[in-house]
Amino acid sequence: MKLTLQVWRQPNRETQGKLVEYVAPDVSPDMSFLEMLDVVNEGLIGKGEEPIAFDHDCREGICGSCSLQIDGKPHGPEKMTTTCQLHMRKFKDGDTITIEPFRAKPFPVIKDLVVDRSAFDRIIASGGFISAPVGAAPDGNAILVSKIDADRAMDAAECIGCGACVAACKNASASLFTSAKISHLSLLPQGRVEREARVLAMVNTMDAEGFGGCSNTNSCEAACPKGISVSFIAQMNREYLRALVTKG
Amino acid sequence: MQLDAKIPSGPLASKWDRHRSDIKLVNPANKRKFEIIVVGTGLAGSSAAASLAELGYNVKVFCFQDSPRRAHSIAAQGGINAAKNYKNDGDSVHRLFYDTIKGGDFRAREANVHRLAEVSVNIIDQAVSQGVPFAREYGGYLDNRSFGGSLVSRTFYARGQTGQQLLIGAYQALERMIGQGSVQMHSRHEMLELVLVNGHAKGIIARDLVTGRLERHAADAVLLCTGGYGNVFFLSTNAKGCNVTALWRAHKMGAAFANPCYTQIHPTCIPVSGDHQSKLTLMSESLRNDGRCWVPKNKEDCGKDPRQIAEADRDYYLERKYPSYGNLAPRDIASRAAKQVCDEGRGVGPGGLGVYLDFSKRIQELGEAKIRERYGNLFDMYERITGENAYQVPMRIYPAVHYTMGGLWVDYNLMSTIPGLHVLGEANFSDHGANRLGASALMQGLADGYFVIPYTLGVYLTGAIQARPSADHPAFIEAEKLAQDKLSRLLSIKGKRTVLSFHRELGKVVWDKCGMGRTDAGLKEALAKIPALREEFWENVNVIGSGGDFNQQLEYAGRVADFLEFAELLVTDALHRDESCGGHFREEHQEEGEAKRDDDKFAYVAAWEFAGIGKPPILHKEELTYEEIKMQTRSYK
Amino acid sequence: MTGVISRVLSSTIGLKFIVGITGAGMFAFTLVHMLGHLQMFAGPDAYNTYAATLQGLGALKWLARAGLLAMIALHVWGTVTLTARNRAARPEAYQKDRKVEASLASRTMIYSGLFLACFVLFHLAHFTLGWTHPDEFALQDQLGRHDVYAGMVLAFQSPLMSLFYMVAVALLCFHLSHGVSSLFRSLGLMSPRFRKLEEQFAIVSAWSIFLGFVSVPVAILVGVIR
Ligand SMILES: Cc1cc2nc3c(=O)[nH]c(=O)nc-3n(C[C@H](O)[C@H](O)[C@H](O)COP(=O)(O)OP(=O)(O)OC[C@H]3O[C@@H](n4cnc5c(N)ncnc54)[C@H](O)[C@@H]3O)c2cc1C
Ligand code: HEM
Ligand code: HEM
Ligand code: SF4
Ligand code: F3S
Ligand code: FES
Repeated sequence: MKLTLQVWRQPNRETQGKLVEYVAPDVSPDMSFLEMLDVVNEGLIGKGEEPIAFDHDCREGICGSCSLQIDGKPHGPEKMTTTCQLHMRKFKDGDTITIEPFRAKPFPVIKDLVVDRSAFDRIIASGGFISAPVGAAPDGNAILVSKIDADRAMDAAECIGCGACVAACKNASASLFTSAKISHLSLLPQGRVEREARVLAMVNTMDAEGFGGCSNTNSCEAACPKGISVSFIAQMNREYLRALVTKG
Repeated sequence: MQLDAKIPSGPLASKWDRHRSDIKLVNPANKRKFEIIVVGTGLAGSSAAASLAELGYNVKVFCFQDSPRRAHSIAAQGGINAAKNYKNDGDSVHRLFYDTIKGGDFRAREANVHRLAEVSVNIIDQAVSQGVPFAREYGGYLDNRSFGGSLVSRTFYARGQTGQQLLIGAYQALERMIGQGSVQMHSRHEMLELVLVNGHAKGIIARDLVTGRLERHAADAVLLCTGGYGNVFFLSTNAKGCNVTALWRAHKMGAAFANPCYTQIHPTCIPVSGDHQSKLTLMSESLRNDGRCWVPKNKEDCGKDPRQIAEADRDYYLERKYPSYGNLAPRDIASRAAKQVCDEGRGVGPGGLGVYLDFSKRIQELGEAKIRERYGNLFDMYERITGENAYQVPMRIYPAVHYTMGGLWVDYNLMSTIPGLHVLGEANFSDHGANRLGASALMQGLADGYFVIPYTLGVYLTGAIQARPSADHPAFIEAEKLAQDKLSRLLSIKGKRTVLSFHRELGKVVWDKCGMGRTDAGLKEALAKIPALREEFWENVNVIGSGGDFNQQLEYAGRVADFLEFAELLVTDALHRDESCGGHFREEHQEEGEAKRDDDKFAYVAAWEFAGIGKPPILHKEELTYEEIKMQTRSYK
Repeated sequence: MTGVISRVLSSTIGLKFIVGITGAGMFAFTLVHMLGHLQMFAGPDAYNTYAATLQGLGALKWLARAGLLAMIALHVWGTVTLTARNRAARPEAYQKDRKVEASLASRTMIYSGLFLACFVLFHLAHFTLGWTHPDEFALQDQLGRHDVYAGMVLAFQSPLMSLFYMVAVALLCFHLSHGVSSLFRSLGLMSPRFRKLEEQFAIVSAWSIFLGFVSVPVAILVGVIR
């Protein structure tokens, strides 16, 4: 099939970018979206033009590297699917596809479609962990965890840190990402010891990085390739309230 | 070059304990004065960096991704082994040790493997404490399953995302130390050169991938945790960024490369769909617990709808050939069996390169809901990629390159032949011999990082260590120039072919001639083709853009350039190893289709020394001696 | 304690606590206010008695008024602050934006809210202070009480005034259709099990409030109440 692409090109952080039109003449429905871009890039290189820069690594939907706002939706039209797992059979011959970077103040553009998501790392560094130095751990079965809690913690832990939640949210809020981590850790007995300090620190960093607040609009959940539930945001708020009451 | 494995004396089971208590301790006040560089943030790198920082060392960490959490370890699906014997099914440290040695077709170093089995139990404890949400039973206890080539249930798992969860655990530990200031993180940085001062590894040259600037980083010791080189085959289950650059440049500076030809082909991957294919996707091996592999008995049936092929006309070839292990036969064996039936013309799907993995029997027995509960995400993934519903039509799978057992040679302390240069995780060669068992790479990466290097690094640091040079030392200036020249050269060629086209062509040569089946003639053919391709690359590659900013083509070109040099070593090793063992299958050496080892001639580790590009490398041998066990013919019948 | 206050006033979650609590307070008031109104259907005497009782509460009345005023002020301050921060978080807009999933109400809270602020000011001037229509406001019933009933009938006999109130109430309920479910989450009172229930509660209460309020002007216009 033949597709027209409107791709955001921006040489670097400082320079203003714009949409540029390309034609992808020979797209197979079995290609992944990124393979389609590979082919476009091969063509650009052949013409001596700079290929389109985009982040990717595993191409299996698990590393969280790939991003892309495809036709106004993070990771494109298919639910629960990362850009790298999106296949061209979801598009029709003759379609025009607009491709932009994830946009948020804390995600500055590095080049074209590549953005800097290190703010997420800083949120984790401020408290998104359990302080369990190597050597001190008791036997794995010493503390039992109910299957329900373990499963729910796993639901939250599935987050791949891709940033689609921020990209989708009208407030560029990192609430879904941050709450997934806070919930994952505080659902487990091992993580409850530090729960108050954790939520206070992480929310503080999240705000300081310049992400917006949550207006409970649910866009993040709909865009999340791992289907992380917004109920974790409620849980984060609960944790925060609890921390204010007991430790504030 | 001297290969001294430094294996501690004494009985196998107590070597590690003894060694640990014999290692001289680094004075805590001194730890703060040591700078350690860790390249790579996969399971091995993150766990090592976090543990070393917890001990008080100053650690500088590098990865090429935008976040340490995205290292390729994230992709591991199936699980991690540990000799916990929580199932009371007869597992033990010794059994895990033995299975791993046997799985590696008696080509791994006994002492290392035993240590690995010993610390495996601590890894689970550590991970649980960090909040890794392993699967649990209703009573709250950790759940286990059996996994590729094992008769006991010793595999711990977290849905289909065990690698992700373990890596996130290690990443969070790393981020904690970053927050405390004892780790300096350099994401989007690629190590380009290793810097030696008086023969010791004392730093690296790294390129800031955003600004394009080259940076010099000095340290007291360097740890390479840069993963495997499976992408030399172009198509593999590895992440696109996986590369051999760090290892190769260290090799060129004098680190011996061991057993590069030991590569693992994974039996359950989604087949290639066309020329655009950029990578292959693994379907967790756990699928083989409930799926049955088959192909039509008659070639004529290959094009038919599989559901129309009668039971009697199906060849469940694994169950037929390996009655006791059946569909759970180890990876190398299952892969080769698939290749065989496809070579016989009985393969299915595009190009006849595929076999069926059929769940219909189990769906009948257990119901679709149960299968969905177990593998729902894998079936979904399969459908996203192929557009087919595997609850109704059997999956099509085909083997693909997945893991590389070879790597830089290290001694018992994980130090390479360059003093101060340590190598951890998939990047080293030590624990898996000629074939790796499922769920044991995660185990090894974390064992190396959490429980081995924190001790064994002390051997170097308390030994004849050289003072840390300043980053203005001539060795740094020279190494930086080396890196710069290479980049400038790549940018100046401005030829006609893209980097990708070279990579694809190289991959095809290596896969065809040095993939699942290798022959003397084929390998020699590859050895003729690779240098020619490399020459063409350096004359005709087209790398667009500049070196002074974010340039993915330039990164890629550097990696492919290194693959083009490394591939020759890989093939040379495969040619020299005139036997079949594990993942290395020389078609000349087989017995009823099974790999035939030659223990008299090849019971050694082949450690290669670099002699110059295009020059034959120099072979050094580390003889493999087994104290505890006897070498046997591997049988899974 | 100062830590708690500064966190509440400065963090996005803390501000949402304020917005949520004040939102909940106003929601409760609105609900009661609407139920009170339904007494219009019981005739002038009942309604004026009700109004007089409220007026007669004295100190309590002023306390409630102060509380309401404070809630409105805090709510407006909180939401305006948040909205400014939320906008600053995305300085460059998408060229193409699909507004994934988010309902219209949820995306326009600040507009429906600011309109409501204006409406409340007018409404106070209208019925509570009697500034806009002093003639209606001066009416007294046979018992010499302030004839709120008659004033209201007079006011809503004007179709324009009725329309204005109906639009205002519609916007209020639009605001609440998102706001009420949102406030549960902001205060941490949501879990997968209660999610649907809370969303349904928001819709049902918003519609009820709408119908309750609108019934009065409609009844007056069609002459059921006169
Ligand atoms: C699809 C898949 C599934 C798997 N499933 C399992 C499983 O179920 N169980 C199991 O035990 N094993 C599994 N494995 C194998 C296992 O995941 C890997 O062997 C293991 O995770 C490797 O870890 P590592 O830390 O050595 O390297 P990696 O995780 O590959 O990390 C390499 C790191 O090095 C960095 N790096 C590389 N080169 C440079 C450079 N030049 N400069 C700077 N940084 C650099 C990268 O940024 C990265 O951070 C699987 C592998 C694959 C591909
Ligand atoms: C007076 C002017 C008002 C303004 C400017 C206003 C504005 C807003 C805004 C912008 C929000 C969304 C905040 C966010 O999610 O970040 C909001 C939420 C809300 N508003 Fe208002 N509003 C006003 C009046 C009212 C009134 C009169 C009521 C009730 C009768 C009300 C009830 C609510 C509720 C319940 C919420 C949800 C709170 C939450 O999410 O926790 N608002 N308001
Ligand atoms: C059709 C709709 C409405 C009618 C007929 C109505 C009528 C009235 C009347 C008659 C009073 C004066 C009561 C008295 O002085 O004793 C009043 C007061 C008030 N109304 Fe309304 N109202 C309506 C809608 C609203 C709405 C939507 C709001 C805001 C959420 C609101 C908020 C108030 C407030 C804050 C007061 C002042 C209360 C006080 O005196 O302390 N009203 N209303
Ligand atoms: S919550 Fe979902 S969308 Fe957000 S970072 Fe995690 S996986 Fe991506
Ligand atoms: S989209 Fe944004 S408003 Fe909240 S529910 Fe998600 S963070
Ligand atoms: S490239 Fe890893 S998730 Fe898409």
